[in-house]
Amino acid sequence: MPLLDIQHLRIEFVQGRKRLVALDDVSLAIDPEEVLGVVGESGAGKSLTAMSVIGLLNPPATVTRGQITIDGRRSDNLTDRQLRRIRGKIVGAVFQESLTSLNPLYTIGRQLVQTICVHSDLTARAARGRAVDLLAEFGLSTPERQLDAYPHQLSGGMRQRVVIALAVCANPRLLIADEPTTALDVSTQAQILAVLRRLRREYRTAIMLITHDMGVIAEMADRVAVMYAGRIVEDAPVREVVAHPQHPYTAALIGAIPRLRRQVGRLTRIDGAMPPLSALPRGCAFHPRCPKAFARCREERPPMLSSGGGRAACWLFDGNG
Amino acid sequence: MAMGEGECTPATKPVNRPLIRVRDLACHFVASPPPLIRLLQRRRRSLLKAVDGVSFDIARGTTFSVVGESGCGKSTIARLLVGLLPPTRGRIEFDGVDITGDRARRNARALRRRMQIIFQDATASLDPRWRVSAIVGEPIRAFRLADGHERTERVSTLLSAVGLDPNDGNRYPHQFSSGQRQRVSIARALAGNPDFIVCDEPTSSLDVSVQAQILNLLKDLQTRLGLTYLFISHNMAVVSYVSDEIAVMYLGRFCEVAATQELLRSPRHPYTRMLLETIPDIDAPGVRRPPIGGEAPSAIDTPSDCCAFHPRCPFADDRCRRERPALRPAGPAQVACHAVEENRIG
Repeated sequence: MPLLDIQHLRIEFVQGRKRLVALDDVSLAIDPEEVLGVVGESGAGKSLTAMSVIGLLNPPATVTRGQITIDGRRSDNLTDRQLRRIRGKIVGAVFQESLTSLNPLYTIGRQLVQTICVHSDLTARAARGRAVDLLAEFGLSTPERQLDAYPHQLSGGMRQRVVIALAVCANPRLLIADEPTTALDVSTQAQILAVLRRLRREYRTAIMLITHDMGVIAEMADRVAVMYAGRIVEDAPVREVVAHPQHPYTAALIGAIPRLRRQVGRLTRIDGAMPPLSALPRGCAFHPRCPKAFARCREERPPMLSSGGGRAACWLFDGNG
Repeated sequence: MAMGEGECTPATKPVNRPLIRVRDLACHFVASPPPLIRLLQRRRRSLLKAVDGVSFDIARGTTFSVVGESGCGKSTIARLLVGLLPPTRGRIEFDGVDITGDRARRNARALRRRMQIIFQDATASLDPRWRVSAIVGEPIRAFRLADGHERTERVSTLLSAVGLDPNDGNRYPHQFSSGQRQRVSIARALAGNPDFIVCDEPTSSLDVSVQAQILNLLKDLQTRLGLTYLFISHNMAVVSYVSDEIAVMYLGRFCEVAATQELLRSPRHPYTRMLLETIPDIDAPGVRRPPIGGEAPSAIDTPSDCCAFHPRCPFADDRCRRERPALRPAGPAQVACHAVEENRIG
C-alpha cells in the first residue's frame, strides 16, 4: 500500500467571478521509503500539490475534486486539529526559504526543543540533547553553540539544515522537500542533499522532492513525476526519464538543460512559455509548443497512457500499450 | 577564434589585440561601522575585498566567463568593467584605451556606447512606467544615433532581432513574461551597437526552457554581430555551454583560468575539482558525491598571506597557510595553487 496516494486531485482558485483550475486530475503515489521527484517549471503546480498534502492550501485555493490518502487514511477532509496530528508525525515539510520557516525572535534551540516536546514526552533537557544529536548528525559543527544562535546568525546552508531537523524531529514517514536547495550554492546544496540521503538511509523516510533542477532529481530520486500547466505529463523511473523521455515536453525539457559531461552545439528550443492558468488551450496544454502535435492534441486532452517504462499523458502513445 | 564564418572584411584592426585587457583589478569596500561608532567600540577598520587583484584578457568575438559561488566577487567584476563601480586599483583597457584613469573621462561617452550590460533581474532593470519602445529607444536617443522615424525603425529591428514582435514596443514591461523581459533588456543593450556586453547572471532567474531560448539567442547574436561577452554565472553547466574561456573565482581572486574544454576535462585547482564533483548531474543518476566540509568564509578581512581556500582544501599544507599562491601557468591552464605547482595532487 502506498504511503501517500493522491487520486484525481483538482484545485481551483476563485478570482473575482472567474474560477481558475490550477491543478487538474493529478494522481500520484509514493511508496514507503521511496524518493519521488516532482519536476516542472514555475507555475506548473508542484508546490500546490505539496501544500495540499499537508493541508496548507490558502483560502482562495480549494480542493474541488479528488482525494488524498496518507498512510491509509483520507487527509483532504480533516479539521485543523486532526491535521495537526498528521503534520510532523507522519508528514514533515521543508520549504525553499529557510529564513521564513524560522521565527526570527527565538533561538533555534528554543524552536527545536519546543517542536520536539510537542511531538514526544521528552523533558526540555532531553529534548535539547536530541536537538544537539540531530544537528550533529546533519553535519553542523559545534551544535551546542548553534542552539543559542538566532536564525539570522546562521548561513543559508546551516539554516536549511536546522529547518530539516525541525521537520524530521518527530520521525515522520514522509518528508516533503519543496525546492530545498534552490537558493543555495553548489557546495551547500551538496551538504543538504547529503542530509536527505541520510534520512532515507537511516530513518527510511520517504521523500517527495520538488525541484526544477533535473540534475538534483537524477541524483536523488527513484521515480519522477513531470508536471506541466497543472497536470502530470509523465511519471516514470528516473533512469528511464533521463535516457528515454517519452512525453515531448519532457524530451524538450531535458534537451534544454546545459550539460557538463555532454556538450552540445545547441540546446533544444521550446518556443513560447507555459500558458497562464487563465488561458489554458483546449486539448493538451502543451500542444501549441509541441513539435509533434497533431489534430487530436488540439481537441482532446490525453489521459495518462503507458509508454516506455512508465506513463505519459500524450496521444502519441494511444494504442501502442 | 570561435567564429569561422563571416570574415568578409580583412582585419583592419589589430586582431591579435584583445578587446578587453584587465590588469591587477581590485575593488575594496569599507565594511566597518561609521568612524565615531568604530572609535567608541574600539574596533579596527575592516575591509571587504570583493575583488582583489585579477587580470585577464578577452579576445574579440569570444566569451570569457567568471564562475563562482555567491559572494566571490563575480558581479563586482561585471560592474567594474562597465564603470558602474570605481576600482580601488588596477587597470582596465578597452580596445587599447585605458578606461580607469582620469583621461578616460573625455572619451567616456563614445566608450560607453560600445559596452553594455544585462542584469539578472530584468524586472528591476526596466522602468515599469516606460513603454518597451521607449526603453529600447533610450540608448539610441542618448547616444544621438538616430531620430524620429529612423529611431522607431531601429527599435522595431532590435525587437525582431531578439525574437519579439515589433508591435510589442507599445506594451509595458509588466505585460511580458520574465523571459520576454530579459529579451527586452538584451534589445536595449544592443541598441547602441556595442562591441562588448557584460552578462551578469542573465538566465539565473529563468526556467530551463526559457533559459535555453536566451542562451541560444545570446550565442546567435554573438555570431551575427561579432560581439564579445563577459559572462558571469554561478552555474558551471550554463557557463560551459556559452564560453570560450572560463575563470573560476573564489573570495575575490581567480584560482583557475582555462579554455572551456580544458577546464572541464582536466580541472586542476582543488576548488574547481570540488565544484565539478559536487554539481548534481543528469548524466550520472544515483551517483554519491564526496561530502564537502566547511563553509565558504566571509570576504571581510581575509588574510592576504595564505591561500584563501586552504581551510577547505584536502591538499593544504604549511606553505598554503603561509603564502598566497599566484596564478601560474600549469599546462595549457593558469592555476593559483601551491599543490598543483609542486605536483602534490595526483
